[in-house]
This record gives sequence, C-alpha cells and structure tokens, in this order.
Amino acid sequence: MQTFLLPSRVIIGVLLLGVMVFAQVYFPVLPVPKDNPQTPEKIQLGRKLFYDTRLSADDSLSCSSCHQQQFAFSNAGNAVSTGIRGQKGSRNAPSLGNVAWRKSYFWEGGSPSLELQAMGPLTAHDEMAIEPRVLVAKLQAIPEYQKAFSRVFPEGITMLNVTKAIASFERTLVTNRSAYDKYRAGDEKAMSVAAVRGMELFFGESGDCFHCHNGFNFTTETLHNTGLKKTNPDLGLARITNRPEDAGKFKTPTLRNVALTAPYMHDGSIATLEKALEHYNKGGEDNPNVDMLMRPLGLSKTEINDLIEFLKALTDVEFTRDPRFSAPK
Amino acid sequence: MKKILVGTVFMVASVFGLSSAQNNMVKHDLKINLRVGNAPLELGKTYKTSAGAEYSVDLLKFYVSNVQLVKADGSSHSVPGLSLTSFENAATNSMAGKMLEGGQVYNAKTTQAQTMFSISAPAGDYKGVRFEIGVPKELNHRDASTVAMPLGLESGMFWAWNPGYIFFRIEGKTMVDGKTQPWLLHMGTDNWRLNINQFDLTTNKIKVLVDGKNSTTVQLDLEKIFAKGPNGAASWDLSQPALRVMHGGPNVGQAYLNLLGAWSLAQ
Repeated sequence: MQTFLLPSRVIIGVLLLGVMVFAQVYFPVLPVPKDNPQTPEKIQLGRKLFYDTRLSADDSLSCSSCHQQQFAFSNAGNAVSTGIRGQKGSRNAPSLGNVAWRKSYFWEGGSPSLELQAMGPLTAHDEMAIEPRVLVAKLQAIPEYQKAFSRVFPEGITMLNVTKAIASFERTLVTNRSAYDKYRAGDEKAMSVAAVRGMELFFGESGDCFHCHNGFNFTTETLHNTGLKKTNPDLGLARITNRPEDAGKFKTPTLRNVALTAPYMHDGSIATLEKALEHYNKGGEDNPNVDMLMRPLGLSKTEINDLIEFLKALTDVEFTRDPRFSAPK
Repeated sequence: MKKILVGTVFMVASVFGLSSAQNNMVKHDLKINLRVGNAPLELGKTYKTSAGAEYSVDLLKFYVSNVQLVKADGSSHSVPGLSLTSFENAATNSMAGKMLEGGQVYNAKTTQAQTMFSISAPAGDYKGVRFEIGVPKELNHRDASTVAMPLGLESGMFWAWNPGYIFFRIEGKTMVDGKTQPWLLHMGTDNWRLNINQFDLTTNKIKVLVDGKNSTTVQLDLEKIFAKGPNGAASWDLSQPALRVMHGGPNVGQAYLNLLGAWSLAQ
C-alpha cells in the first residue's frame, strides 16, 4: 500500500486557505450600494484615480498621499494631512482598511457613503482643493481616462462617477489576515502568550476596550468624547448638531493595523500606542463632555504591555504588501 | 431615471401653482452688485478690512431660494426655484466664466448687475423682495449623488463632511506675517440660512415694479463681512486661523450676523 505524504507547502497552503475562508465567514458580506456595483474595470479605474496626483488642483497630491499602503492606508506617521501648497489640516487621516463596512465617514460621521466622502478631500481647500467641474474637464482631456470611464460608465466622466470608481477601489481594501484572525481561526500559536493575555484584558472589564472597539472591525461605529483635552477645540459631532454636549465627540476608529497607523486620535496628538494606553489608563482629561466609560483603569505596566502586544497582533502585513492595492504600473 | 431634476420639479410646481393671473405673469430679474464699501468688487484686487488686514476675493458662490415679492397688504407672491450664482476670478480658476451644465447657474466675469434669480410673477407694484441665501431644508438633506444641478456634486457646494450644502461660499487670500494665506468662509446647515428682507410696508421708500421691463438689484457689501469679530471684538481678525478659515464652527454666528447686515437694495 502506497503512502502519500503531502508536501508541507501544500499543508500550509490548505491551512492558510482555511484561515482566509474563516476570516471571510466571520466578516459580514461586503456592503455594496445598489447604484454602484463592483466590477473589475471600475475597481481598476478607481485604483488608478486613487493614485493619480492629477486629481489635485496643482497635480501634487493624490488620495494615496495621505493614505499609504505600507501604513495600512494611513498617513505615514503624520499627525495631520498636508494639502496643496503645504497647507496643514486639523485631522489625522484614518486607515482605509475595511472602510467598506464603516457606517459613516469623517471623524464626526457626517458623510453617509464612501462615494460622498470622497468629495471631501478632493475639494477641501487644504487638501486636494479641486473644483468638481475643473476636475471633470481635466480628466476629459486625458484620452486614457476617456476610454476607461466610457467602458465603466455610460455617461462617461462626471464628478459622481469619479467618486464611484474611487469608492469601488476602496471597498476592496479588506484586511483580515492578522495574527488575531489566524488565532481566531484556530491557530493557537498565531499570537504570543502576552498577546493572548492582552486580548483577555481587551475584552474584559478591567481593560474595558471592547465597549467601543468591538466586532470584527474593532469599532462599534459610535461617537465618544474620550477626554483628549480639557476643552474641545475641534467641535467634532457638534459641528453638525450644534449641540454643546456633542463637542469633542468623534467616531471610534478601527483598531485593525493600529500598530501601523500612529499617531493616534482625531488630531494625531498622541504619538505612540504606549501613550494612547496611558491616556485611557488615566481616564482621560477632565472634559465637560467626557464619556461615562472613561475612568481610571488602574492597569499595571505589564498589563499595558500585554495590551500593546495584542494590538500589534491586529497587524495584517499581507494587507500592506498586497499588489492588488498598490499603485498601478 | 434616478436623478431628481430639481429645476424641473420647480418648473412643474410653478405650473400647477398658477392662478388666474397666469396671463399676466412677466419676467423680472433679481440682480446683484458686489461691492466693497462704495466701490464695485474687483475679483483678485487687494482690499483692507477695518482692522487693516489685506484681503482679496477670488470666488463667491451662493444659493438663492424662497424668493418672495412682498405686496402692499403684507402678503407675498412666492417664486419657486433655486439658483446658484458664482463669481470666479479667471486668474485663479481656469473654468471661471463658463456656464455650468444642467441648472440655473450663472457665472460672471464682472461683479455688477448680474442676474442671480429669474422671477416669474404677476405684473404689478410690490413693496419689496425677500429671499433666502441657502438651500431649502427639504432639498438640503437629499442624497447629493442623486440630484442634478444646481445641487449635486458638480455644484462645488456639496459639503462632504456634513449632510447638506454650503449655502454661502467666499474664498480669497490674505497676508499673515508677510505670507499669503488663503481665507474662506463656508456657511451652511439649516441653522444658518440667511433671510434677506428688502421690503417696506410703512413708507414708500422701496418700490419694485414688475412689468417685464425692469429688474431689481440688490447689493452685497463684502466689507461688512468683517464688520465685527466674535465675542464682542470690534473687528474681524483675519490673522487668527480660526477666523481665517471657517467651515461653520464656533464663530459662525458672528459671521452670520455680519453677512446678514451686508445686503441692501440698490437705489
């Protein structure tokens, strides 16, 4: 009787496939709007637009300038974005990992869709600063874009179609191959012992992270004032509601790839994971609108280190190298 | 067809809203002069605020809606419709002066006597006009990706971070510590819709003759945008970042009051 020994590479491949399948199972179905279905051609067009500096007023910036793949599509260590002519914004560019599942966009959650969100950085004076009709005219003068848009959209190049294509590409930016995902899929060695201890703290009342950073994407999509400062120089949600009690409330970000997305908070004012955890361990600053969940945690140095190890286990290195997401050749 | 043609909606509404006065309906343009004090605004020219700060204006865009002609008895004739008027400096915008497609949109190379709204109304003598600078609430929160000009994404007035439109948008340059810096005021949200009232029921100082031949011209004095600063300050300080770049925010109330006082009827 002949014995078949499977090559180790095949076994590893099968295991990896199992992990990926599991990850996709525990992730909800990719949400795609009915009026903007995903097609390979549209995704490629969106990818090209995402990396094209001609989308800014002076041809100096693209979406990828502030959303860089090696940093999980965040802003390469910069606290705030730098727009055309060196203008500084006031907010930290968030990671685009799993952005398709976000319920709303911008730090105060004022935009309901990826398509509409894209209008913000494209047109903001201190970001890409381009007028919609100037952009449309600019793209219409580029034969390559004329062809690409006509293949994807019957009406050709319009502002809405620009944002639809970019949104389609952004929806493909799925990150689900971290050590945590593999651990959750059954690979008990995927995370270190310290990271497992950190995970237990994270999902327990003592660490108390899970009330806001929960679910497959580590966010409940809710807005909170985390007592970052004693006052609220950036109004956050109150910019929309005009209610004083909403001042300083911002959306809970995903923690996937958080070790790659420093600095932290809506204004990038906390430089490291260690300092972010110190902030939460302290219970934040005494802000009039601080969330009731903010309280001194009393975590030890070892516990903080364990939490950091767990947060590092949320890094998906493959996501940062995946050629499907990189700049088109 | 998914697109909601706002202009068409209003046209249909106006047709169904016609009374027996239909035969007497005439056209009457509501025009605007942009001023800086007593002088016509020149886009790109450097001016000074009362506090001595240099500034120029490169772009001004605003929505006009809820236009009403006020009658002698205090009632009014409402004119349906929404218009977007845009003034752009050709030196800073390659598309300046080009008409946008698909809506009641005007661009102007000059800043005087430009039509900002076309009125259709029964002929007669009116005691004035009132209108709003803004998008009506029922239109302000629709999905911007499904509406056509003058709303929609192409308008350049969709406020991506906020569900709604910029009602009034002015942008230009100023000098801070010897460096040229952008300044801008973007005003929107339902709380900050400007109600402009230019009518007089007690005297005969204001007369609006709607006869198909004349037009009514209002003036917007941009100098008055800087009339007062927030929190009791005597003037608007453009050197402060929070007052130089405003997308709504804590100081918008004073900007709103300043802007409200900047309108008048041209004599």
